Amino acid sequence: MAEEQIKKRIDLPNEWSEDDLRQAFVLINNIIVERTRNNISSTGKRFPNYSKSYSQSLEFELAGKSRTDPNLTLTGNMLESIQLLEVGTGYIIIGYEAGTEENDKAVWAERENGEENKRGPARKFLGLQDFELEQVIAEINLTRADSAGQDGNDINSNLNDVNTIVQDQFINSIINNTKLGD
Amino acid sequence: MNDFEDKLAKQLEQTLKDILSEKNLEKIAQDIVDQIVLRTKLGKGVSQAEGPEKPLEKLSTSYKKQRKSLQSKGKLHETTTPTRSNLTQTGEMLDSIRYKINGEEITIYIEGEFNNKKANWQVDQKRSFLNISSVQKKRLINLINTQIQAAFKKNWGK
Repeated sequence: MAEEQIKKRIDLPNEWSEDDLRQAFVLINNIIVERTRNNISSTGKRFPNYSKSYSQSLEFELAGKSRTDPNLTLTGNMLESIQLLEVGTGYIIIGYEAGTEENDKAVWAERENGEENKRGPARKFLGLQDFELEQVIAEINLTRADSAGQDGNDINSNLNDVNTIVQDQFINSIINNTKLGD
Repeated sequence: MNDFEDKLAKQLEQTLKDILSEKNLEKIAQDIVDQIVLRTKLGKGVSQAEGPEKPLEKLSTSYKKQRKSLQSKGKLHETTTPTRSNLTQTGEMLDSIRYKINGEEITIYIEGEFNNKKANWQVDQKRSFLNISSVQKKRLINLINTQIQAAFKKNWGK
Protein backbone atom coordinates (compact mmCIF):
# COMPACT_ATOMS: atom_id res chain seq x y z
CA MET A 1 0.00 0.00 0.00
CA ALA A 2 1.32 3.45 -0.89
CA GLU A 3 2.23 5.55 2.12
CA GLU A 4 1.18 9.14 2.68
CA GLN A 5 3.44 11.66 0.95
CA ILE A 6 6.30 12.72 3.16
CA LYS A 7 7.24 16.40 3.20
CA LYS A 8 8.97 18.88 5.46
CA ARG A 9 8.63 22.66 5.57
CA ILE A 10 11.82 24.63 6.06
CA ASP A 11 11.43 28.26 7.05
CA LEU A 12 13.85 30.71 5.44
CA PRO A 13 14.12 34.50 5.36
CA ASN A 14 11.02 36.25 3.97
CA GLU A 15 13.04 38.68 1.87
CA TRP A 16 14.65 35.95 -0.23
CA SER A 17 13.64 35.64 -3.88
CA GLU A 18 12.40 32.43 -5.46
CA ASP A 19 15.86 31.97 -7.03
CA ASP A 20 17.48 32.29 -3.59
CA LEU A 21 15.08 29.70 -2.19
CA ARG A 22 15.77 27.30 -5.08
CA GLN A 23 19.52 27.57 -4.53
CA ALA A 24 18.95 27.08 -0.79
CA PHE A 25 17.28 23.78 -1.65
CA VAL A 26 20.41 22.65 -3.50
CA LEU A 27 22.47 23.35 -0.37
CA ILE A 28 19.94 21.75 1.96
CA ASN A 29 19.69 18.64 -0.18
CA ASN A 30 23.45 18.32 -0.20
CA ILE A 31 23.68 18.67 3.58
CA ILE A 32 21.01 15.99 4.14
CA VAL A 33 22.62 13.54 1.70
CA GLU A 34 26.16 14.04 3.04
CA ARG A 35 25.11 13.82 6.68
CA THR A 36 23.02 10.70 6.12
CA ARG A 37 25.82 9.01 4.19
CA ASN A 38 27.93 9.62 7.30
CA ASN A 39 25.38 7.73 9.45
CA ILE A 40 24.08 10.84 11.22
CA SER A 41 20.38 11.56 11.70
CA SER A 42 18.60 14.89 11.36
CA THR A 43 18.78 15.23 15.15
CA GLY A 44 22.57 14.83 15.10
CA LYS A 45 22.64 11.32 16.56
CA ARG A 46 24.23 8.30 14.90
CA PHE A 47 21.78 5.93 13.22
CA PRO A 48 21.37 2.55 14.90
CA ASN A 49 23.12 -0.31 13.07
CA TYR A 50 21.12 -2.44 10.63
CA SER A 51 19.49 -5.62 11.91
CA LYS A 52 21.24 -8.96 11.63
CA SER A 53 18.49 -10.40 9.42
CA TYR A 54 18.64 -7.46 6.96
CA SER A 55 22.42 -7.67 6.86
CA GLN A 56 22.18 -11.32 5.83
CA SER A 57 19.95 -10.66 2.81
CA LEU A 58 21.25 -11.03 -0.75
CA GLU A 59 20.18 -7.43 -1.48
CA PHE A 60 22.42 -6.22 1.30
CA GLU A 61 25.33 -8.25 0.00
CA LEU A 62 24.78 -7.16 -3.62
CA ALA A 63 24.88 -3.52 -2.63
CA GLY A 64 28.14 -4.14 -0.77
CA LYS A 65 26.81 -2.77 2.48
CA SER A 66 27.98 -3.14 6.04
CA ARG A 67 25.76 -3.67 9.08
CA THR A 68 27.73 -1.05 10.99
CA ASP A 69 27.47 1.57 8.23
CA PRO A 70 23.79 2.52 8.46
CA ASN A 71 23.59 5.24 5.80
CA LEU A 72 20.14 4.60 4.28
CA THR A 73 21.80 3.76 0.98
CA LEU A 74 21.05 0.44 -0.67
CA THR A 75 20.71 1.72 -4.22
CA GLY A 76 20.98 5.40 -3.27
CA ASN A 77 17.62 6.11 -4.90
CA MET A 78 15.77 7.15 -1.76
CA LEU A 79 18.39 9.48 -0.42
CA GLU A 80 19.11 11.10 -3.74
CA SER A 81 15.57 11.72 -4.91
CA ILE A 82 14.58 14.34 -2.39
CA GLN A 83 12.65 16.98 -4.28
CA LEU A 84 11.73 20.60 -3.94
CA LEU A 85 7.95 20.31 -3.71
CA GLU A 86 6.95 23.91 -3.05
CA VAL A 87 8.47 27.36 -2.91
CA GLY A 88 6.62 30.08 -1.02
CA THR A 89 7.41 33.41 0.60
CA GLY A 90 9.94 32.63 3.31
CA TYR A 91 9.79 28.86 3.07
CA ILE A 92 10.33 25.77 0.95
CA ILE A 93 8.77 22.34 1.25
CA ILE A 94 11.01 19.38 0.52
CA GLY A 95 10.06 15.73 0.29
CA TYR A 96 9.16 12.96 -2.10
CA GLU A 97 6.86 12.44 -5.04
CA ALA A 98 3.68 10.81 -3.77
CA GLY A 99 3.13 7.16 -4.62
CA THR A 100 6.77 6.36 -5.36
CA GLU A 101 8.84 3.60 -3.82
CA GLU A 102 11.29 6.21 -2.58
CA ASN A 103 8.49 8.00 -0.71
CA ASP A 104 7.46 4.75 0.97
CA LYS A 105 11.04 4.04 2.01
CA ALA A 106 11.42 7.55 3.42
CA VAL A 107 8.17 7.19 5.39
CA TRP A 108 9.55 3.98 6.85
CA ALA A 109 12.81 5.62 7.89
CA GLU A 110 11.02 8.69 9.30
CA ARG A 111 8.38 6.82 11.31
CA GLU A 112 7.99 7.26 15.03
CA ASN A 113 9.58 4.47 17.07
CA GLY A 114 6.98 2.01 18.32
CA GLU A 115 4.44 2.59 15.52
CA GLU A 116 2.10 -0.33 15.10
CA ASN A 117 3.25 -3.02 12.63
CA LYS A 118 6.53 -1.20 12.10
CA ARG A 119 9.33 -2.98 13.87
CA GLY A 120 12.90 -1.83 14.13
CA PRO A 121 14.31 1.59 14.94
CA ALA A 122 13.43 4.74 12.99
CA ARG A 123 16.23 6.58 11.19
CA LYS A 124 15.13 10.17 10.72
CA PHE A 125 17.07 12.03 8.06
CA LEU A 126 14.78 14.52 6.34
CA GLY A 127 15.39 17.86 8.00
CA LEU A 128 18.07 20.21 9.25
CA GLN A 129 19.67 20.87 12.58
CA ASP A 130 19.74 24.52 13.68
CA PHE A 131 23.41 25.02 12.86
CA GLU A 132 22.92 23.51 9.39
CA LEU A 133 20.07 25.91 8.68
CA GLU A 134 22.22 28.82 9.84
CA GLN A 135 24.97 27.66 7.46
CA VAL A 136 22.52 27.64 4.51
CA ILE A 137 21.21 31.10 5.38
CA ALA A 138 24.76 32.48 5.67
CA GLU A 139 25.80 31.03 2.29
CA ILE A 140 22.78 32.34 0.41
CA ASN A 141 23.12 35.72 2.11
CA LEU A 142 26.70 35.88 0.82
CA THR A 143 25.61 35.44 -2.81
CA ARG A 144 22.78 37.93 -2.19
CA ALA A 145 25.29 40.45 -0.88
CA ASP A 146 27.54 39.93 -3.91
CA SER A 147 24.54 40.46 -6.20
CA ALA A 148 23.16 43.52 -4.42
CA GLY A 149 22.16 46.35 -6.77
CA GLN A 150 22.38 44.25 -9.95
CA ASP A 151 18.71 44.64 -10.90
CA GLY A 152 17.77 41.01 -10.93
CA ASN A 153 20.90 39.92 -12.78
CA ASP A 154 21.93 38.10 -9.64
CA ILE A 155 24.01 35.01 -9.00
CA ASN A 156 21.25 32.69 -7.82
CA SER A 157 18.97 33.54 -10.73
CA ASN A 158 21.81 32.77 -13.16
CA LEU A 159 22.67 29.53 -11.40
CA ASN A 160 19.06 28.43 -11.70
CA ASP A 161 19.15 29.26 -15.42
CA VAL A 162 22.31 27.15 -15.85
CA ASN A 163 20.64 24.29 -13.96
CA THR A 164 17.70 24.42 -16.36
CA ILE A 165 19.86 24.56 -19.47
CA VAL A 166 22.00 21.63 -18.36
CA GLN A 167 18.91 19.67 -17.39
CA ASP A 168 17.18 20.28 -20.72
CA GLN A 169 20.17 19.59 -22.92
CA PHE A 170 22.66 17.39 -21.15
CA ILE A 171 20.48 15.15 -18.97
CA ASN A 172 17.88 14.60 -21.67
CA SER A 173 20.61 13.63 -24.12
CA ILE A 174 21.87 10.94 -21.70
CA ILE A 175 18.34 9.62 -21.27
CA ASN A 176 18.01 9.25 -25.02
CA ASN A 177 21.43 7.68 -25.39
CA THR A 178 21.13 4.28 -23.81
CA LYS A 179 21.06 1.60 -26.44
CA LEU A 180 21.79 -1.97 -27.34
CA GLY A 181 24.66 -2.50 -29.74
CA ASP A 182 28.18 -1.13 -29.51
CA MET B 1 27.89 44.79 -19.91
CA ASN B 2 29.02 46.08 -16.50
CA ASP B 3 31.85 44.55 -14.45
CA PHE B 4 29.51 42.39 -12.40
CA GLU B 5 27.75 40.98 -15.47
CA ASP B 6 31.06 40.38 -17.17
CA LYS B 7 32.49 38.54 -14.16
CA LEU B 8 29.28 36.54 -13.72
CA ALA B 9 29.19 35.49 -17.39
CA LYS B 10 32.82 34.35 -17.22
CA GLN B 11 32.26 32.40 -14.02
CA LEU B 12 29.16 30.68 -15.38
CA GLU B 13 31.07 29.73 -18.51
CA GLN B 14 33.89 28.28 -16.40
CA THR B 15 31.32 26.46 -14.24
CA LEU B 16 29.77 24.83 -17.30
CA LYS B 17 33.24 23.84 -18.54
CA ASP B 18 33.95 22.15 -15.19
CA ILE B 19 30.63 20.28 -15.22
CA LEU B 20 31.02 19.14 -18.82
CA SER B 21 34.72 18.29 -18.56
CA GLU B 22 35.63 14.81 -19.74
CA LYS B 23 36.76 13.85 -16.25
CA ASN B 24 33.42 14.80 -14.71
CA LEU B 25 31.41 13.20 -17.52
CA GLU B 26 33.33 9.95 -16.98
CA LYS B 27 32.43 10.04 -13.30
CA ILE B 28 28.75 10.66 -14.08
CA ALA B 29 28.71 7.93 -16.76
CA GLN B 30 30.33 5.33 -14.51
CA ASP B 31 27.81 6.19 -11.80
CA ILE B 32 24.93 5.61 -14.23
CA VAL B 33 26.39 2.25 -15.30
CA ASP B 34 26.82 1.20 -11.65
CA GLN B 35 23.23 2.20 -10.90
CA ILE B 36 21.91 0.13 -13.83
CA VAL B 37 23.95 -2.93 -12.84
CA LEU B 38 22.93 -2.78 -9.18
CA ARG B 39 19.28 -2.10 -10.02
CA THR B 40 19.21 -5.10 -12.35
CA LYS B 41 20.97 -7.37 -9.89
CA LEU B 42 18.36 -6.35 -7.34
CA GLY B 43 15.74 -7.60 -9.81
CA LYS B 44 14.37 -4.39 -11.27
CA GLY B 45 14.04 -3.14 -14.83
CA VAL B 46 12.75 -0.06 -16.62
CA SER B 47 10.52 -0.62 -19.64
CA GLN B 48 10.83 2.89 -21.09
CA ALA B 49 13.07 5.93 -20.68
CA GLU B 50 12.12 7.98 -17.59
CA GLY B 51 9.73 5.22 -16.53
CA PRO B 52 9.42 3.65 -13.08
CA GLU B 53 11.71 0.87 -11.84
CA LYS B 54 9.65 -2.31 -11.66
CA PRO B 55 10.39 -5.96 -10.81
CA LEU B 56 11.67 -7.88 -13.81
CA GLU B 57 9.40 -10.44 -15.42
CA LYS B 58 9.56 -13.73 -13.47
CA LEU B 59 11.55 -16.72 -14.72
CA SER B 60 9.77 -19.71 -16.24
CA THR B 61 9.48 -22.88 -14.17
CA SER B 62 11.63 -24.85 -16.62
CA TYR B 63 14.37 -22.22 -16.56
CA LYS B 64 14.34 -22.18 -12.76
CA LYS B 65 14.96 -25.94 -12.82
CA GLN B 66 17.81 -25.45 -15.26
CA ARG B 67 19.31 -22.79 -13.00
CA LYS B 68 19.04 -25.07 -10.00
CA SER B 69 21.01 -27.66 -11.89
CA LEU B 70 23.61 -25.06 -12.86
CA GLN B 71 23.89 -23.98 -9.25
CA SER B 72 24.54 -27.54 -8.09
CA LYS B 73 27.43 -27.66 -10.58
CA GLY B 74 28.75 -24.33 -9.35
CA LYS B 75 27.89 -22.65 -12.66
CA LEU B 76 25.37 -20.10 -11.44
CA HIS B 77 26.79 -16.71 -10.52
CA GLU B 78 27.03 -16.02 -6.80
CA THR B 79 24.94 -12.84 -7.09
CA THR B 80 21.77 -14.70 -7.96
CA THR B 81 19.66 -17.72 -7.01
CA PRO B 82 17.80 -20.24 -9.20
CA THR B 83 14.49 -18.43 -8.75
CA ARG B 84 15.71 -14.83 -8.81
CA SER B 85 14.99 -12.87 -11.98
CA ASN B 86 17.94 -10.48 -12.20
CA LEU B 87 19.40 -11.12 -15.65
CA THR B 88 22.33 -12.92 -14.10
CA GLN B 89 23.48 -16.41 -14.92
CA THR B 90 27.18 -16.00 -15.60
CA GLY B 91 27.14 -12.25 -14.91
CA GLU B 92 28.78 -11.51 -18.28
CA MET B 93 25.95 -9.53 -19.85
CA LEU B 94 25.68 -7.01 -17.00
CA ASP B 95 29.47 -6.80 -16.86
CA SER B 96 29.45 -5.74 -20.51
CA ILE B 97 27.55 -2.48 -19.93
CA ARG B 98 29.83 0.36 -21.00
CA TYR B 99 29.77 4.09 -21.58
CA LYS B 100 31.33 6.30 -24.19
CA ILE B 101 31.75 10.03 -24.22
CA ASN B 102 31.57 12.08 -27.36
CA GLY B 103 31.95 15.78 -26.68
CA GLU B 104 29.25 16.59 -24.13
CA GLU B 105 27.28 13.44 -24.83
CA ILE B 106 27.25 10.23 -22.79
CA THR B 107 26.09 6.98 -24.40
CA ILE B 108 25.39 3.84 -22.38
CA TYR B 109 25.60 0.61 -24.37
CA ILE B 110 26.35 -3.11 -24.27
CA GLU B 111 29.68 -4.29 -25.60
CA GLY B 112 30.00 -7.42 -27.72
CA GLU B 113 27.77 -9.19 -30.20
CA PHE B 114 26.91 -12.14 -27.96
CA ASN B 115 26.03 -9.94 -24.99
CA ASN B 116 23.87 -7.77 -27.25
CA LYS B 117 22.04 -10.87 -28.46
CA LYS B 118 21.36 -11.88 -24.87
CA ALA B 119 20.24 -8.36 -23.98
CA ASN B 120 17.92 -8.15 -26.98
CA TRP B 121 16.40 -11.49 -26.07
CA GLN B 122 15.74 -10.25 -22.53
CA VAL B 123 14.09 -7.12 -23.90
CA ASP B 124 11.87 -9.34 -26.06
CA GLN B 125 10.95 -11.19 -22.86
CA LYS B 126 9.77 -7.88 -21.35
CA ARG B 127 12.90 -7.48 -19.26
CA SER B 128 14.19 -4.08 -20.38
CA PHE B 129 16.98 -2.95 -18.13
CA LEU B 130 19.16 -0.37 -19.89
CA ASN B 131 16.80 2.62 -19.76
CA ILE B 132 17.33 5.59 -17.46
CA SER B 133 14.49 5.58 -14.93
CA SER B 134 12.57 8.55 -13.58
CA VAL B 135 14.37 8.23 -10.27
CA GLN B 136 17.74 8.15 -12.04
CA LYS B 137 16.79 11.36 -13.80
CA LYS B 138 16.04 12.97 -10.43
CA ARG B 139 19.38 11.77 -9.14
CA LEU B 140 21.14 13.26 -12.14
CA ILE B 141 19.36 16.59 -11.72
CA ASN B 142 20.31 16.73 -8.03
CA LEU B 143 23.89 15.79 -8.79
CA ILE B 144 24.26 18.38 -11.54
CA ASN B 145 22.59 21.13 -9.48
CA THR B 146 24.97 20.43 -6.61
CA GLN B 147 27.98 20.31 -8.91
CA ILE B 148 27.02 23.59 -10.59
CA GLN B 149 26.71 25.32 -7.24
CA ALA B 150 30.00 23.89 -5.95
CA ALA B 151 31.90 24.70 -9.16
CA PHE B 152 30.54 28.23 -9.19
CA LYS B 153 31.45 28.76 -5.55
CA LYS B 154 34.98 27.53 -6.25
CA ASN B 155 35.40 29.88 -9.23
CA TRP B 156 33.53 32.98 -8.02
CA GLY B 157 36.08 34.13 -5.43
CA LYS B 158 39.01 33.90 -7.87
